[in-house]
Amino acid sequence: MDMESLFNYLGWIMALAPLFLFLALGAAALAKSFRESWVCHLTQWAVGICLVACVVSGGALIYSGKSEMIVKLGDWVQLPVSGFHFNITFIFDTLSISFATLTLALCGAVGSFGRIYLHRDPGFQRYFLFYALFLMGMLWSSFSGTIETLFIGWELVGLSSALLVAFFHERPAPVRNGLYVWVVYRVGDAAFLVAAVTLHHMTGGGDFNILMGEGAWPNGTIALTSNQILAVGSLLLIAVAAKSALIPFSGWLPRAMEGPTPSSAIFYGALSVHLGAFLLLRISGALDASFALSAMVTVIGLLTAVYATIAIRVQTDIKSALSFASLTQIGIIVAEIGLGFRYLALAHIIGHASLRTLQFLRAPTLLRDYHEMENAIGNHLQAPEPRWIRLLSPKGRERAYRYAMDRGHWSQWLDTFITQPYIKLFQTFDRWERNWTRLLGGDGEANQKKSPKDS
Amino acid sequence: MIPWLEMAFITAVCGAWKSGAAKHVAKSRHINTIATGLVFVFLSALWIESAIAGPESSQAFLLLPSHWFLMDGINIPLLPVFGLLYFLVAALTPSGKPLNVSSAWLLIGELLILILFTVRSEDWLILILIVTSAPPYLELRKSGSNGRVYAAHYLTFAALLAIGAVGIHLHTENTHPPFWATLAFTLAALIRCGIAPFHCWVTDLFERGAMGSSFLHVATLPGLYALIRLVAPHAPQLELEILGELSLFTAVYAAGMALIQKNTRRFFAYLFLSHSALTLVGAELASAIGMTAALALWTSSALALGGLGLTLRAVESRFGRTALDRYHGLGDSAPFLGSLFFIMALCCVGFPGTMSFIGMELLFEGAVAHYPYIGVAVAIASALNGIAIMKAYFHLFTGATRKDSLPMNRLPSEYFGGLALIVILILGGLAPGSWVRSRFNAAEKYLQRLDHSIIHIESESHSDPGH
Repeated sequence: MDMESLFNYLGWIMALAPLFLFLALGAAALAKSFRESWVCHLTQWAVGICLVACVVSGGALIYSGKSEMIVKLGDWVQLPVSGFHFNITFIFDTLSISFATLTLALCGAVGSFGRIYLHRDPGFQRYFLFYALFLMGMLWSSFSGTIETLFIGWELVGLSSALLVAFFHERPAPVRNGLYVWVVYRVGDAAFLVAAVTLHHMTGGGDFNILMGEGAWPNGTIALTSNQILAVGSLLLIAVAAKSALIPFSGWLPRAMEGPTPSSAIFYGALSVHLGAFLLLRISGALDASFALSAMVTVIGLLTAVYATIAIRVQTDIKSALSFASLTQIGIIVAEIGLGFRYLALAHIIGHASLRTLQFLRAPTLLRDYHEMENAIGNHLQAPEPRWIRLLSPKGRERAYRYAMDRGHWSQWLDTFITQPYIKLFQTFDRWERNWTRLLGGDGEANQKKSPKDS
Repeated sequence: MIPWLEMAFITAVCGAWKSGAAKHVAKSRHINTIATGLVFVFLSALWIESAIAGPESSQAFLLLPSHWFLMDGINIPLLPVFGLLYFLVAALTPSGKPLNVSSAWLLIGELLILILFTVRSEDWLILILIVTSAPPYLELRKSGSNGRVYAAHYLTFAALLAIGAVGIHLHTENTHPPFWATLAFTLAALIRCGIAPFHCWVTDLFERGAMGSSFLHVATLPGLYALIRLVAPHAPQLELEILGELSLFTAVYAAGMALIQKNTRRFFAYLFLSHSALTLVGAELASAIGMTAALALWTSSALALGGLGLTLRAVESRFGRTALDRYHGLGDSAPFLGSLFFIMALCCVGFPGTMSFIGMELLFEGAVAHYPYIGVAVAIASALNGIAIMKAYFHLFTGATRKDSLPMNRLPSEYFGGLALIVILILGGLAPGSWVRSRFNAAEKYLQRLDHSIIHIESESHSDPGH
């Protein structure tokens, strides 16, 4: 078997194994027939097969001496004459294999943890259904060779994340937070879609090679003009900011902690939030070719890191504290990418994701650990005050405290300047429409009294 | 060689007659279900046959004079979709639901829709467009609801169609029809499609009328068909451009309105309006990509919105009209309906892996190519629709668990009907290649016909200095 055929098989395995897992769990959910052990075995098999395929692909890539292998899985849609085509293309290179291996290792660990954590929970099967959707989205995103393929993975990750935030749907708070996450993701997705089509129009194709440049990751020379790169790159940066909770979209990350602990660990602490950074790594050729884009990426990354490190100081629950800790590191990773340290950023992602998963999974037992330590030393544990705080004046400390308590005001600003004006505007339109139909219908007061609170 | 279309016509006529003559409501409904099911089977057979032998072959199999009918790649694949919608509405109507009008109207309505989508003559098309407008008004009157908003729009619609028909008759074959005639057709199409600012009748109809018949009245998008058959061949490019921009505006406006609604019926009406406007945008782009998108979305939106509407109807029949201002927690009482609503909602907004996905991609591609800046409105409308459906899902199916004294979950007919829709929409999404290609071929043939007629008129105008 030649290398091309081998990678073709591996590509199909990566694409189809999580899809079959999702379809099987989905069909079982509709038929209302499942057993926990059956769900777990199926999940373990799917993750295991993909992990083996991923390791084999890494080995084969090293053995072949090639820096990348591009596998075209087929044209999903290809229209003659018009030039429209929707390719499913996977790239096997250092970046994709590293990220996919990380995904599978962490998904495997969290899957095993979730089996015990959610044992006999009414939402057990629902959790694993969303988990399968997330796994598929992450693998498709990791190996995506075209911007359209990445968009599919990107959307799947977004949907599964929002649904898992709202997992405990009996309470209104998780549901509201799930909707908040979904709104932010949809904004990012819209920007992504516009970027994909803009790229299509500029170049006639959606291959990442155009944004990465000719040559294997992370080296590549790009054929677009700096203005074109800036246009597409800025749109992608909005999508990245939404997915990785960079400012001004940071508000969703602490809200996402309403979900079950395993999902918080894997999605918002480890993998999902790094997807934006992964996209920036993937288009590193474009960043190299545009100083303005690199500068924007660096500034957003640093501002996010500073904001998150201030906000973390006042958090009183472990999951929120961990979420801001994650955000600090993600900000630094994004800044590293903007500054051109691509391998460092990749190593940082892998290290940070692994550490954060462990911390999140240990979070429920942290209080007990603290009590044990305090009992052992016979005193309260005290965190040392950071030195930089002493540099601030009392007034400055007060301001920083307020800023941290209000989580940087980002959510309030979005609410004041976007959400509320939007709602007021459309409520006005709605009132006008109702008045107009009342006038036409001639049923004036009667209808008005009937449904005063319809919108 | 079997005349499937005539068999569908005869079945609908006989079914309507038997259903109208039945003494008991239950028997009448039973006849409706069987007749709509048979019509669906015949229309599916027609589509399969045309897919194998080509759409033109269907014309040859007609027993009725073939010049009465126009069978092409645009209308043949739509017919089984409409047949399925009528069948599902008939099969999933709760048996205890009181009737506002005779149940024979369902089959008469289906028959009229089939004739509307297959008739060749423009005069007959106009006449049937006017006739198909009557049943919702009659139903509103019968149920004691105020039908003036509907009547005002439809009288205008009928008058505009009549004016347009006069204009079409005034022009000869080799000249452009007068501007006022095409404008009248365009305005009529805008009203029928619910394009802003002529859309208020749709929200009013959904609020006051029965969910099933209101939905069937709009879901087949006869306005879009009128646009393709009556407006596009005659209207000047500028008129189509304005129509396209109005449709883009409506898509965003209706999506924005859907997001703030607290009335479930109005939410659904705006969601429908946004999708019908998006479909219209594709048709008005006058490009192969745009037209392919319109044809693809026509099918997928009808099925997905049909599934969503039927789910909402099933929810209403169990829990009454539910407002979107609090979390009702219906998911635990009716989990299948929750899953069905969610899957249909994802199909509506063109989520990856569903049948609408490629249609939305094509539409976005075509819209941005044609309107480089305002084409982005498609992405905005899609994002707003996505948020609106998730909000509606959360409000209806999440929240504190209800304590119902009776089991509220699926009925067998709902289960199998819902599963059929899910399978069609997911399979169509996972393997869209041949289906989208067939839509593309139909779009190309339609555009060639359109170009040919325009070139023909222009060359005749140049050669005849009198015009």
